[in-house]
Amino acid sequence: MPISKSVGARIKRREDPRMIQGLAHYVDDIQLPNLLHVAILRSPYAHARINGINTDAAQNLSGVKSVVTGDDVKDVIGGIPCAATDPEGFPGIKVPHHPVLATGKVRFVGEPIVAVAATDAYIAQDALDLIEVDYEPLDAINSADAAFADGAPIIHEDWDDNMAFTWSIAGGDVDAAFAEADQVVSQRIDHQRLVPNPMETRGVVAQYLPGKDQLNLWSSTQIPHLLRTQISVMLGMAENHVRVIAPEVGGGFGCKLNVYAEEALLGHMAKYLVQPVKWIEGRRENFLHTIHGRDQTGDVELAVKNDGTILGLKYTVSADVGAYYQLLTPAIPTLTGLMLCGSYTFKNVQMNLTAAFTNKMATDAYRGAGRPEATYLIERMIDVVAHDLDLDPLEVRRKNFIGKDAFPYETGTAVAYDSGDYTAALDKALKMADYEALREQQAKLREEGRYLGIGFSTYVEICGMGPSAAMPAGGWESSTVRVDPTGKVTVLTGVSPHGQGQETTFAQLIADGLGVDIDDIRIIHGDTDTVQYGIGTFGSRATAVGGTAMVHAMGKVKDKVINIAAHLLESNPQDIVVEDNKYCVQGAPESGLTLGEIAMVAHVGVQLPEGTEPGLAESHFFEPPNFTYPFGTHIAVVEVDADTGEVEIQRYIAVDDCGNIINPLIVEGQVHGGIAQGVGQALYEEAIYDESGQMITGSFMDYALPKAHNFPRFELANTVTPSPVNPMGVKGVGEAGTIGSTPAIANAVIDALKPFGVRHIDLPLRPEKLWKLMQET
Amino acid sequence: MKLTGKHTIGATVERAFELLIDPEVLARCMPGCDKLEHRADGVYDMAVSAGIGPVRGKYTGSVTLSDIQPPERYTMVVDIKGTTGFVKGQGVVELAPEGENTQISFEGDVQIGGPIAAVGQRMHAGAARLMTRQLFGAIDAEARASA
Repeated sequence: MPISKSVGARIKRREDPRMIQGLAHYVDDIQLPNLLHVAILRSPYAHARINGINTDAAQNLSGVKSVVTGDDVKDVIGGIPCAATDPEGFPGIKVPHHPVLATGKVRFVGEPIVAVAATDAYIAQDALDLIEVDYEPLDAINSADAAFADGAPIIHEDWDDNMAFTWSIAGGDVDAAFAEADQVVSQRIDHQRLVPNPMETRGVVAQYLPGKDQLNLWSSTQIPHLLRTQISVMLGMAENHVRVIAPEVGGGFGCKLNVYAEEALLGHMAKYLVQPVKWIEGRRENFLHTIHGRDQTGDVELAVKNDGTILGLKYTVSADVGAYYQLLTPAIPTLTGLMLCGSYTFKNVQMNLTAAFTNKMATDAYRGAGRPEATYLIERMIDVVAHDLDLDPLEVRRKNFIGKDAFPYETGTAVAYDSGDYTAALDKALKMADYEALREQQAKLREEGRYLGIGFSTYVEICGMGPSAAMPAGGWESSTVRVDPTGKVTVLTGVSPHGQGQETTFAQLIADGLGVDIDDIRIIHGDTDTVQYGIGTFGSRATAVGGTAMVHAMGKVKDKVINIAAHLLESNPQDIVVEDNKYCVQGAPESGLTLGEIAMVAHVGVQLPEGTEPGLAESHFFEPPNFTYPFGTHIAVVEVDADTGEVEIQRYIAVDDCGNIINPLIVEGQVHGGIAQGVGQALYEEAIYDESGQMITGSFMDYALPKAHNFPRFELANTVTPSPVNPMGVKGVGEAGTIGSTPAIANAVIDALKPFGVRHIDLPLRPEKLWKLMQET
Repeated sequence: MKLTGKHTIGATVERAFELLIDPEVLARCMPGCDKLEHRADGVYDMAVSAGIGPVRGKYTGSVTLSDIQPPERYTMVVDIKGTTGFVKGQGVVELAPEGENTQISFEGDVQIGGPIAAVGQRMHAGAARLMTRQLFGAIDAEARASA
């Protein structure tokens, strides 16, 4: 299907046919001869000493090949890594050793203690039942407040308190701003703990080839190369003898941007058993031992003028980061700090964060990673300001917006917003919503005792992660573009798509750029033996950074193709154009050459211009000069049922600006999923640990995810403000929906309850909470 | 989790008390009880099969009766664990005459951990009520049958 211009077209995802036909291969689809299955015994206690482990009966169970305890591996497998532990960035940081299997003490429910490998998964699971662990339960900590309380039990006994680290950021003159203010508007804001819940849980298959001293590790990961580096360090193997493969990955949302105990453990077991091993995470294990998101609670103060002008912001916050760090744990709240000013002009800002160890799973990157906290905080506070000053929340937004002529714009937190036009997105959304009519409808319904609410979120977020200077583990990206002798194009990309659709969007860019049919393009990713080193897929970076690396590599290929074409056509390179997928001299398309014809010449090597290397493959490593800053306006219209407290989302309007759009269908898909997850935080989701540190929301019976019937048909549109950071002018859209939607829904629900005098309610806005508030007033 | 309740047993207080601390009766009446054997002074070894929602498993451990004041009251401590978690509880059981019958009231505190704690938390109280109702219902039936 030749398309004259692929970029910008609504092309269906090329990866979908294999997925909807059941032909995609995930980790659990991998079968190897003599494969052993691993099950893991996990702590039922949040905090306990281990006084002994008896594995005799498990070892004697028929079919069991190996039982591994923490003592067995403590000297052969290094600790689970954290990439953000610099004490200059995180004053006072404590970095506890994070073993793959607990020894001496367990610190959260779900912590791995013993691994069993057996001939099938059922035997492995049965063997766990035969293991006896002598626990001495200790008091547990289930919140940052509890961690800092006098006499709190100490989680890591190398230190004498549970303070994990501090972090702060300050810009402008906060004291002057507060001195100048007519009022100080304060509110305590809670960002509840969330479980990422990808459709595919984690899973690992490991195989050791003794003849080559090679470890092959298949993992459901977002970062195959970073994982390879870390696994080689943890296992003490040469990195070029470790191959990591991310096969089809069924969603990650940040939770697979990590290095987990099981990845190193399985690698070790495969090597010492010289037999392949497989572990597939159960859903209940996933709730307990795959990273969680958010879990910050803090006090916000805004210095404001009576006309709604915001002068400054102070945020004093504690983060409950769990018992250990995972790969990026301390870095996540720093992204909150960078984005505290939102879309607004105030530059006097200060955030002081204190993080606590608690007896919970670690927090880390979950879709949005630090920015949903910033956006929810500032967007919610704008509405609190409007409430306190009796202004329209729109008026407060408009009064404080950064103007479109101010870009590039340096914020009080010293980040440089690349481009933006916040008013344009807001105006477009208001027009779609017919705002005046909505307010009239709201007033009319209130007279009937019905509670309609209209909520805004005029967000800006930071994505397209790097540059490297601002990243804990590299912010660049890589690509190789090669053309086979027959003209088929293969792209190797360092990013690791797992639902973002780059097999389609990258092919669109190549199709247009090289003049080749999209069906002749293959995008390869996720295999460290095949693909040059890359950083991976997270932080809405794959297209903005990885796509740019590819476009540059493609440009090098194209230069060479044009040179060869000019030589063959006895012309000059500057006179060569691509028309109808043929390289021709301008004005003479009939004598044009296809990419395949030129590629054959490049590989036969005979007719090349003098000094030209044979072959047709080029690589590029791209270091972005800045982040990108997508923005937009989301408007939610909800009705809260006075009898039940239930929230019905009646309309959802989203105008997102992610710069130039390569494939509108994929952008819409990302926005749909993003909105759904953000609404999940607003209305339904909450990971709760009880006072004894038990996670009491550890299944889908207890942890509510949004479902399709919870949503109306989304009304989506875009404004397009290209980013100057990359040649495509793209920004990224993987997380914008999540970041934008939570405050829009919260503001709408609270607006609906305005007749009840409600000023703020903590998330999630579940019916019983709203119903009680409506009864009280 | 707090656990309280009242049940009526169709027997005198003395007879009801006898039944309540008779391991054979309890083994028959307790839902899912696979074993209940007297080990030492007031300490019984117990094995039960139980489950909430999809999390079902076998639990072993002990039940300890103490502060036994026939026929009025005793204290019971349950400490069992299994592959799907652990249950620790302690409570006071009191008996009082109610006409020709006996009213049993109990009040206790139960701690649940591990996988069973993570699943169906909102059903725990209901499941516990159901199990105690089954237990005392069965003891009542024994009492009436032997009357």
